[in-house]
Amino acid sequence: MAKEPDKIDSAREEIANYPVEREPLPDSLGLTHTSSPVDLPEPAVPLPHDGLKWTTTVIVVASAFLLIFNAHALRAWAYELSPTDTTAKVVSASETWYDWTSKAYVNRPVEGLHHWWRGMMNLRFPGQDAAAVDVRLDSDQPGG
Amino acid sequence: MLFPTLTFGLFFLVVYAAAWSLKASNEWRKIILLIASWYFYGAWDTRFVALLMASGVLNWGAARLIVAAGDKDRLRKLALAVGLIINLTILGFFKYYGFFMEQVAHLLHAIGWERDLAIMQVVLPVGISFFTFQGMSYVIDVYRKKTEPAVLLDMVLLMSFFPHLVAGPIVRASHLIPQFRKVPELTRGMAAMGIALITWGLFKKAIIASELATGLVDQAFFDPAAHSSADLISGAYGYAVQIYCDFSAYSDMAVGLAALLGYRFPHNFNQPYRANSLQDFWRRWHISLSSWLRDYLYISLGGSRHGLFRLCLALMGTMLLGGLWHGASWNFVIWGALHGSVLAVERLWREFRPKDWKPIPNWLGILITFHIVLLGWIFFRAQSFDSALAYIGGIFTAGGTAALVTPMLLAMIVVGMTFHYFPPYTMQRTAMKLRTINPVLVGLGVGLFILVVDAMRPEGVAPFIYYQF
Repeated sequence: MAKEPDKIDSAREEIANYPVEREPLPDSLGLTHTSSPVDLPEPAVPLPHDGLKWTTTVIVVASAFLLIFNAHALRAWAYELSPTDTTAKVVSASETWYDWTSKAYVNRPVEGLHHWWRGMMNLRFPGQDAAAVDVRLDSDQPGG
Repeated sequence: MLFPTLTFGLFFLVVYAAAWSLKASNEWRKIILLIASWYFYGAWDTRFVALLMASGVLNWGAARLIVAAGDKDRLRKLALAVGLIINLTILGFFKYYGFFMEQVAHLLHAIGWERDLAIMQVVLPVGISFFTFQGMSYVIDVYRKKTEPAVLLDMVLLMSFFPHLVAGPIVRASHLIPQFRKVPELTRGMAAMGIALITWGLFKKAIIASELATGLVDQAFFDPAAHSSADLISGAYGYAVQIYCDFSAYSDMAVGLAALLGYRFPHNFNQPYRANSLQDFWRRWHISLSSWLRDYLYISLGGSRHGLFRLCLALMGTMLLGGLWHGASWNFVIWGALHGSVLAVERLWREFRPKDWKPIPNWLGILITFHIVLLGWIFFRAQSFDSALAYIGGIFTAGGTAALVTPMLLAMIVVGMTFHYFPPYTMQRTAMKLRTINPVLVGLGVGLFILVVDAMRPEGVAPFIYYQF
């Protein structure tokens, strides 16, 4: 129970009187009194104790998905590496991978989305000077 | 090494694999995390890794001295003073030396000293304000007997742990050291929340904050005199959204990355622009800093224990020093003074408001608070005091039509503001659903989300705003 400020007589007591970390809005799920946002209440039906396996599967699947559909990003990253014999091989491998994914048309969705989004970003209000606004660097392809 | 880059993604995959493959030995696991953290920090400047190591060791040593002093109060105080002086010296030298010397040079010129002072150029180590504050809180907590002294490895890892190293949250020893004492368990809930926070943070940083920065805010603040009132107004609102999306994104990703390694970091943001008073704002914005300032500065300055006048002085002093914590600049002092004085006025108003006056409606409180915060952000963002005044003056006098703000940038400002009106715990509720779903489907969803963000974001990644602090 918090004391009134005028009844507090020590620094330690004053620190204990502050409820800041336990402040957030009340709710019915028991999320109010957590010291970290990652503390979630246990579900009514317990989940399997396989958090590591579950997480690793998520990461592996997401990484594989991006490797296939976002070869642009891999190639752009490879070209940003400091040039050495090793990085030259990385660049070459990323180019080869990019060519394969292009031939399989799996780069199309991200390229299409990129062009659509840049078009949206370049929209202007009526009467607005387009040349005066668009000073941002922009490439033809996502990821550089 | 910035979080929203492929380089960091690959780094994290290696760290994740190494950390969890070593879960049989907590000590080796922590050693790997420590080496990874130093590698992460060294990616900016390897010279400062030694500073980070030394700072950890010195704080550990100061805490050991406090413990060794036992019940001898004078010795304990002496050891505390040594610990604080070490931290403040490190922070003062790297962060405030240049500013201090410039002020001295100005003063000497003003009194007729014509010769220029030789001022050494000091490079600011990334995240120095964060790790020195963490070190200080550890030493003070050991002194106050609020936390047990840590072993050297835990202490150095506490200060170096890469998710929070360069821009917080400021994680206290009492929160993280107990977690370091055993191999953590990764639950589906933690992982789901971690993944949700990382992807949400990526969206806020890579799209909203980056687009607003490059398309609107940087240009508006670079030369306020060259822009219309409409652009300056939208630039100010844009910066309010940009700094929230930038800084909260870093915190979200830091909390999420730590969760995937099995550690719980504290809350750092809670929809700050829906605060209905400045006191409420500071319970929602950068919570780990505001609670640090409250526990180690405001309380030490007297807090509310010595009457209303001392309380107002403590509020003002805390916010002025909080402003200076961000950097050595008069603009940060003004930003702190604005917050301190409004906090004091709010306190006086609560104390002396006539009993028959109704409190202001919640919506009006939110509107007023947001615009006070907005005014503060102009000083926070502007290059100089004159530039801030030119910006504010331009809002009222420049006239003209909007050239910078576009329909999509305007939409982003609106979207960024709506984040503050999501139902409470939206992210937690999302994670609670996510943890029950097949991981293959979650992986496909996460991959698709990142793909969309990557396709939409502007080229390149600007550093997080708080990296400079």
